[in-house]
Amino acid sequence: MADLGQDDIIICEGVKKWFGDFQALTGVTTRIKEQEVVVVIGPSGSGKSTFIRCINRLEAHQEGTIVVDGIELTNDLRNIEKIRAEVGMVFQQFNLFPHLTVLDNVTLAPLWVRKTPKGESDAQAMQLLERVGIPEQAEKYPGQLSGGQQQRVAIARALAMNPKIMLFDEPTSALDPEMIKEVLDVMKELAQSGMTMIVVTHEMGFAREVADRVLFFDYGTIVEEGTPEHFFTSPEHDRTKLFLSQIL
Amino acid sequence: MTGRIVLPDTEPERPPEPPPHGPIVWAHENLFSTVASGILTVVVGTLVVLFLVGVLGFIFGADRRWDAVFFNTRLMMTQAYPEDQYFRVWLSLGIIVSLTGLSLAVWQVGGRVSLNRITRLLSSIGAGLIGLEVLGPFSIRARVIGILIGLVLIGGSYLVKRAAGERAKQETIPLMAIVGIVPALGVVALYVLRIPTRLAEDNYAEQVLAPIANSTRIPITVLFVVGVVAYSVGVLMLDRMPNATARVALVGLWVLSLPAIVLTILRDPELDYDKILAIPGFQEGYLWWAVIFAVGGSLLITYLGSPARGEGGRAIGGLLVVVALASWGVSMLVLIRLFLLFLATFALAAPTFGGGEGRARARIVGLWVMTVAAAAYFVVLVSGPSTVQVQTTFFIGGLFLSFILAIFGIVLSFPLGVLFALGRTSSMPIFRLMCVAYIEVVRGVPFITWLLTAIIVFPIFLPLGVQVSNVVAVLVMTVLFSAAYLAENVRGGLQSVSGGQIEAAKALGMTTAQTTVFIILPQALRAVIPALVGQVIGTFKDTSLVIIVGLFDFLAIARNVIPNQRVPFNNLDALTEPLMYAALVYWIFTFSFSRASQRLEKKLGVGER
Repeated sequence: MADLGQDDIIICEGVKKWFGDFQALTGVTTRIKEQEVVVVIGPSGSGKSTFIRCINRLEAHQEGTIVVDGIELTNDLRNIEKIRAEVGMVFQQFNLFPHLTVLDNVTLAPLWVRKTPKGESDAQAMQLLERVGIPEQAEKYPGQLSGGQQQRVAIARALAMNPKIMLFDEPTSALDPEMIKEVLDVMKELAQSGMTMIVVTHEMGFAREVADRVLFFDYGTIVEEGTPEHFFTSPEHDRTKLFLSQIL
Repeated sequence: MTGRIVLPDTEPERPPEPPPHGPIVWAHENLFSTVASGILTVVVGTLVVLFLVGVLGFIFGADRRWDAVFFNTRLMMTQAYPEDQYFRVWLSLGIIVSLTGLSLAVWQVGGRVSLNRITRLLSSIGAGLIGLEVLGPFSIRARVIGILIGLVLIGGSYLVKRAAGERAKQETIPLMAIVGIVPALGVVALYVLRIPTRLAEDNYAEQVLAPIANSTRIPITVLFVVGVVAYSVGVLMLDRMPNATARVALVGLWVLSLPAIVLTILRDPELDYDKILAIPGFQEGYLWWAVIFAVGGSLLITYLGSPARGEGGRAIGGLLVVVALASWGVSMLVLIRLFLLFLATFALAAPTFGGGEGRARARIVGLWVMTVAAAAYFVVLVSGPSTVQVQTTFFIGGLFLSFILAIFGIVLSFPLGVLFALGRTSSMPIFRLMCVAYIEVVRGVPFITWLLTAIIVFPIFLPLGVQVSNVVAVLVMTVLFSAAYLAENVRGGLQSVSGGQIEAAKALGMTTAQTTVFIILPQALRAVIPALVGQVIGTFKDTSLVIIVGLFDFLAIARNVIPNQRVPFNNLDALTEPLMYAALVYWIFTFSFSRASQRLEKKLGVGER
């Protein structure tokens, strides 16, 4: 597996997590390098969403250690806020703020968390909206946009904090088929620009094309991992073979 | 880099057929769709007509005598406010009217409505007028005039609609131009109408119809003009300055104007300059204390708000809260205690909301200096005795007292209610328990009980030497009572904000305070506007309960001015007209409030996420 190099930006050791009596993570150990694009796949209920939500501590893990960018995740609130500012997240349901315009959605966090001056954050937000292809929608409200456009705004909003890592939690699962491509295009461009990304998705084409590494989750742990070629052509584990035979 | 989806633009060849419409179609579909519903329509319609004939006959009957209402207008508005000081009342109204005009323009209340809707509105008014004239107990002459006006309205709007044709749907007119007609007609009425007037001061029997006095109609005319001018200025302002700036400035003016009107203009306090300008001690030197706090506080806030300090500066804010609370146990100027309390709040907020930009910090420092100035100004004014000499517990009563209690009750209870709601949903058990206990106890006891408590029990717990007037005690109680109900309404809104919103904010690194202020509260409050308006209307109507503790609000005076003017005298019968008048006044305010809130709701797009 990954060596102990200096460029490991996320280190997970035996991460375990329970929801009541149900064990969602049964011991996840992995390291993710800077600029690496990791795609997480697996059947529903396998713990893949819980895993990436532990990385920015939207869920608190109960055993094991998670170190992000050299900071260990503990209950220390200040560390958590610091890490969340460095880790962008894109949700399945977009979670844009419906009472704010697209521009305000993007500038809110830079203004109040990074304390960026208004003019600067506005200019940066317009740049990002241009990058995701919707600068003309800046003054509209999220409710006036299509699902694909909303998800692209959500990506711009996360990028506005200049994060070191981007987490994607099934970013295309709530979209109409004709809108999936526009979101995946933005994500591909992001991967090519050298962003560290962890993507939970059911888009196998995206995994094959963009991922550096694929993690296959089941029963709350990593069952198999490897490069996309290895993973899709010669999987070793029976569980992986069964999963792939069902979806491909 | 993104594929845009282009829909084929195939316009249908022929325009879509209009659905069948017209009054006959409507009546068939809605009133006579089956035999049973036809019978029901006829029976209920007959009952409604009979009911209306009865009610209108009662209201407009020949034996109604409205003179009691006309004679006592001044009393019902302001109680015994001295006549020679009446310009203060008009000035207060002038400030309120001009701020209202500006606000209506700047918030673009009403927007524009289509010609179509206006013609529909006018013809329904015409139809209503005709119905009123037919069913009501009016003289032939009044009936003919009324029905003619109704027909002119219906016919005129029909002709306008015909002439405009298809354009009637697109052509729009600012709603305010239409709404403004109502006060304009009122002003015209002042010069046309004649009201029952006593021939001699103490002679109630001999009355004549006389024009309304100039001392009433000239100020009201001026107020109307002021309102129109303010609205026009507001419209001009919209084009010249950023909307957000205008709105913030107006909110500030409203907040300042309310205490300014009540405490300075109406109260006309007598100031003790020796105490104000004295060398600062713990009992005097108001002005210098204000300067000390303005300068010292600005330095502290600048220090705490700098990005280098980070959020650690909150510890100093926490310390200040303790000092501020402790100061209430020590004898000193109330002003200093208030300053400490405000400074603690600012110190707590500075690290989170100060912003790193020089300008953002300058803004919060500016806000601090303004807070100090405003607090010093008002505390000085309140500490001087009122020069308005009235033989009652408060310098003003009547409708003005109702307004003061309602407006301050609503404005002050709002932030408190939000705090209680946040407390009740907080994850800190002790805090939550305290809020739940407070809300349940307050809501579980009738308001009148609390009013009596405020007058009888509160004074026992006040620090030695501190006295509050009944009005202040009642106001505090109104705020505390209304806050408990508001808290429950706001809690409903808080629950409607999805967990995903909070997660998104957290994932961006926002603190809990920032998430609450920028994400949760705006959405929560927007979701519960109807409930909040219900609470506001309730608070306004509840002010009529203060008669229980001896304050003379509008309704109390309306009930008490009567028993003199009817010969032969009959107490029960004599109450009729003033009570109907009081009901009408309350209804006008609550109804316009509810309509305004409906428009606000529509504008904020509740329900269309």
